[in-house]
Amino acid sequence: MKRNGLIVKIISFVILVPSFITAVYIMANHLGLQDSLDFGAGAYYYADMPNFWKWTDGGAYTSPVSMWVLILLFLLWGALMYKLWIWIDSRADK
Amino acid sequence: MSKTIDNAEVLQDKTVQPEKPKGIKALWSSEDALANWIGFILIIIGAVAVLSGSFDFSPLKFSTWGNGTNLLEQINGAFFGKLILTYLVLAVLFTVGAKLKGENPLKFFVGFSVLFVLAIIVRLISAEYTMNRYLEWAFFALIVGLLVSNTIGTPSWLKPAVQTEYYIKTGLVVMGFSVLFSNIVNFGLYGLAIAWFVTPVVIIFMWFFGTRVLKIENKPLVITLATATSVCGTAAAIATAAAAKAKKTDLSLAVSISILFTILMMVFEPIIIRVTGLGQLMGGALIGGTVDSTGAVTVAGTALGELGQTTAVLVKSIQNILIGFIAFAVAVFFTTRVEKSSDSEQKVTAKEIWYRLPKFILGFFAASLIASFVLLPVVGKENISAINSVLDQYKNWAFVLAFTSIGLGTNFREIKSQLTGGKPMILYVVGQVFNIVLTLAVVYIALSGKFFPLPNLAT
Repeated sequence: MKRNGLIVKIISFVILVPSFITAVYIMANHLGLQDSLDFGAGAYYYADMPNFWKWTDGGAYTSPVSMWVLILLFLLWGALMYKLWIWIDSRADK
Repeated sequence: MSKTIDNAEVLQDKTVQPEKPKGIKALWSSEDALANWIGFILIIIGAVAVLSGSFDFSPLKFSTWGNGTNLLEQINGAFFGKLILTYLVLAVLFTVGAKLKGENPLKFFVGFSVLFVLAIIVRLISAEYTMNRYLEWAFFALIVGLLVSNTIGTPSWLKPAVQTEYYIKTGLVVMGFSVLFSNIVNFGLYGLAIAWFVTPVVIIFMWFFGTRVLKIENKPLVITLATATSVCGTAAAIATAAAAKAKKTDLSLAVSISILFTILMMVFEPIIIRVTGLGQLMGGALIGGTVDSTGAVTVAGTALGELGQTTAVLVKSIQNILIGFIAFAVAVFFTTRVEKSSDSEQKVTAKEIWYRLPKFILGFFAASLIASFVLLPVVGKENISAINSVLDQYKNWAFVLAFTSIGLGTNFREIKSQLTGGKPMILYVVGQVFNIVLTLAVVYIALSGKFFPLPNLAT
């Protein structure tokens, strides 16, 4: 049990340290940014992204399926997955 | 004499909370009801200001500085006008709320004023060119709060205003207005399949992996990390943490991990997509479904090209709708299964669920429904967007106050203990890999053209 804990710690360390160093390197060198966009990973959509609505105004794609059918499918899948979550959790309890 | 807050309790700061009011009194004195009232007051004033055009209700937003732009360039009369407006609006609403909760309004006001100064420092730092593009204000809010609490200590006179959940709930109700159900139609069945088929599967997988395989006992931390990974990073983590009654340190840990890996994914995912020849359509959809923050999704999608950008943002805009539903499901799940198991083995009644359910989630849904189905058809997306540009800034201020409060109530020892031997990191990475693989499979089925006709997208 203690050995497993040590392995988890080592794996976690091996992931965290290089990830952190890489993130700092990316930030220091301004990698991955787009000159045309005055925002990045830290942006929150309407607050920080100018004219965000233009991306989502419905002009990019016309759905042949109505919104209400999509909402119905959305709710059905959500309800099914919630039941599955409870079922899996109950089985694991036993 | 300053006194440090020692224990990171659940998001609800029990040190300053009176007993939860019951019955009709709860409609104006419970924290959830007050978050709903304050949220809706901000929404109504914001909407009236934008639609009538008769006054400017926009709060202060620091312009980007650094990289050749001087910080002082933005400081002028208008700057101070917005600063005073922001302070007065938030101080008045939150102080009246504190009074209605049964707290001492004067003590709250004094503490809030200092907390607001700390929030200004946070927003100032996070507006710096590099910080603005890579790190969210939540990160700096935690750092500033932690620096205060772990050096000079959180003064006792500041404690009445250190109310994480109060600010978070209010911010979430305001955020509800920006969650438009109509976005579900943006990419039709393709978007629904990519954004919605995958998300709950990843949440269930991470829940099972975290609680049963890694045996993490802190279940609110597991679900907060799971939603941050599968939905949309910080915003989802905030909503779920509040719904699951997570500890402050659970939320700060989930957000920190999410921010770190968002930077990596924003840079590396477009590179890998280009190298593997996945193409803009499928690549953009993969980015939209897996990169946590909307800003990062847009930047990474743009790196692929116009089609990649459009697809990435469309998928992400659908995924953002999920926040409220998932927070609601988590609240019910924790009420009926997680909290129940520690209290009794009897089935939880509907009345009990209603009593325990965090009511701010209803405010979140109400704001979302009103924006989507009442106001949007009448005033159009451009006006809704203009209203949200105002409201989102108030939401950001509320969240900055919340995360600064978390930092003020946390010590470094607690953060170390929260890491529980590195398990949360393993959970995030395994969950994110599962998320990427499953999303890629669905994207391939939906958008490769081998199984279904390709969508006709205008760029």
